[in-house]
Amino acid sequence: MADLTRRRFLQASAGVAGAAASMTTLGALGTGGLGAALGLSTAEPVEATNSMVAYIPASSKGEVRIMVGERAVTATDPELVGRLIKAAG
Amino acid sequence: MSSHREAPGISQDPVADNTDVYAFVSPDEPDTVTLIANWIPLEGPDGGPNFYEFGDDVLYEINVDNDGDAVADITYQFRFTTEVLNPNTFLYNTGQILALSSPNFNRRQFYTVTRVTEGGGHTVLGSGLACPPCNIGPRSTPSYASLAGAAVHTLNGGISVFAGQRREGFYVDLGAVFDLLDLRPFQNLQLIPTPAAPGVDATQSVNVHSIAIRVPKSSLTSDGSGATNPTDPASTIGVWATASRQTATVLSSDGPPESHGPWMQVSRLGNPLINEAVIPMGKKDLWNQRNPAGDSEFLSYVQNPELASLIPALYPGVFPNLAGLTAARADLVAILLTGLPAGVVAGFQNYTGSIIADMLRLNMAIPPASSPNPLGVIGGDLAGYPNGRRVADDVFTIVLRAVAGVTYPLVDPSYTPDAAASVVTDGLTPGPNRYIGSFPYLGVPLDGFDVPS
Repeated sequence: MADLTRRRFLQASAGVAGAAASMTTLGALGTGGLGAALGLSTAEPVEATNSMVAYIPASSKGEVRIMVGERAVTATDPELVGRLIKAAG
Repeated sequence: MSSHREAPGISQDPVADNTDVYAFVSPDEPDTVTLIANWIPLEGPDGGPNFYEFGDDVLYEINVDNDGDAVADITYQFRFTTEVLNPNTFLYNTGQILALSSPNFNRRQFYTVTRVTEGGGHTVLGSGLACPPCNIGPRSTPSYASLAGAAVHTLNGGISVFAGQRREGFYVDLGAVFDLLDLRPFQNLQLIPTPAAPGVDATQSVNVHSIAIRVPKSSLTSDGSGATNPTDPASTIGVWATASRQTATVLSSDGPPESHGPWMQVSRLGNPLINEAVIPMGKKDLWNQRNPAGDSEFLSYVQNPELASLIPALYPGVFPNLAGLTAARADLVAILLTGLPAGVVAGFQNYTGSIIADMLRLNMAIPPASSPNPLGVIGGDLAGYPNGRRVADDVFTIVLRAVAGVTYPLVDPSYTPDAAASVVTDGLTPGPNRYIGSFPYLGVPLDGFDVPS
């Protein structure tokens, strides 16, 4: 996850559960239902200029692919993937 | 067809469906080459109220390889933006459209064309370029030819560009061909015979959306030369077009769909009919996603085309020599995947090297023909297909005859083609007004009032 910060993961998680709804701050997520459901704590809001999509092609690999703008990054974070799956019910 | 609805996936996405690619030395400006890529198959001229248009969410590209590695050295990218002047009407036009700037032209498209080089250079050649409307009818678009003519834009560097509706240039007897390869002029010889009959041009009453760009030859060669020597490998380019969509699309009840992520290629076309009639059903979508440099993956389908087995089976006793031809079809590989080396056809070559790749190969040093033969090289006209492709070339008959064995003696002189191989055809010649003599060369699109689908 070289170029993927924890905050971007939070954005990504919103993409999974909220179908990439446009966001203004991540702080809202961190204190909202999804953030709580994910057990995340984000003390500082982060401006997000784009909506984005997070895609978990195979949860067993612990990978999440985040698409934003015309690019995508893939990160390996089994813990996060697990929380996302849990949040998705 | 050439490549209309040729694969299961892209048949569901007509806006991104590349139907034909043309590349030829411009007959009226022989120092230039015209590249055309068509999209949106089988447009009924009366297809309103939401008439056909390019996709704002599609990346359209025309690619040029000039060093034989089957990787694009130059790519012309086209991106479209749709504007609606009045969203409170259902009308495409609120009155006559007499100019591209007419306030009656309610739903309009503009585009940007960018030249991208393999080294990563990006040059915006033009932006805010207007497309013409579709040809609606004599009340809405009464002076259509001049209206569309205003959408031919002249850019710096001796470049002309056009994007918009044109008349379909490809002609084929679709209804017969897809009925177990019936060829009406020869259907008395078909496995299920009926009396011979003239061919029926299935595409004579439909339109298409074209992206056409005319550029100096010198802007396409690897060495900046003007491509004047037919024997110089630098005179030959490989051309193909692609359409791509972003990886993820999210539908929302709050607004239009959103696209995210890298571009994913969904359509590809170089030579006509390869994905249509050579690549098997289970590989067609994959083929559309691949790039020419990887086409060795599909080599066996060209070496042993299914169509070459079907022809003698469906026309029993007519193609005995083809039925006995079991060797790999090196002639088809040369025509479609490597180009023809020097010495095969007198005075001609369009060989780009040993890399197996579906590209439309154009030797730009071959001058335009004064009397073009629609059968191109097999008709003795070196300026036609498979030396590039002109808008009126009869590519269906050319490919049909090649597959039937007429070109196999080029690689094995001991082979005698069946007599039928040199005459088999769907029996069509394009009707009047199918083409025009100047850029963009495809004819004025049919209007929906006079040519209801």
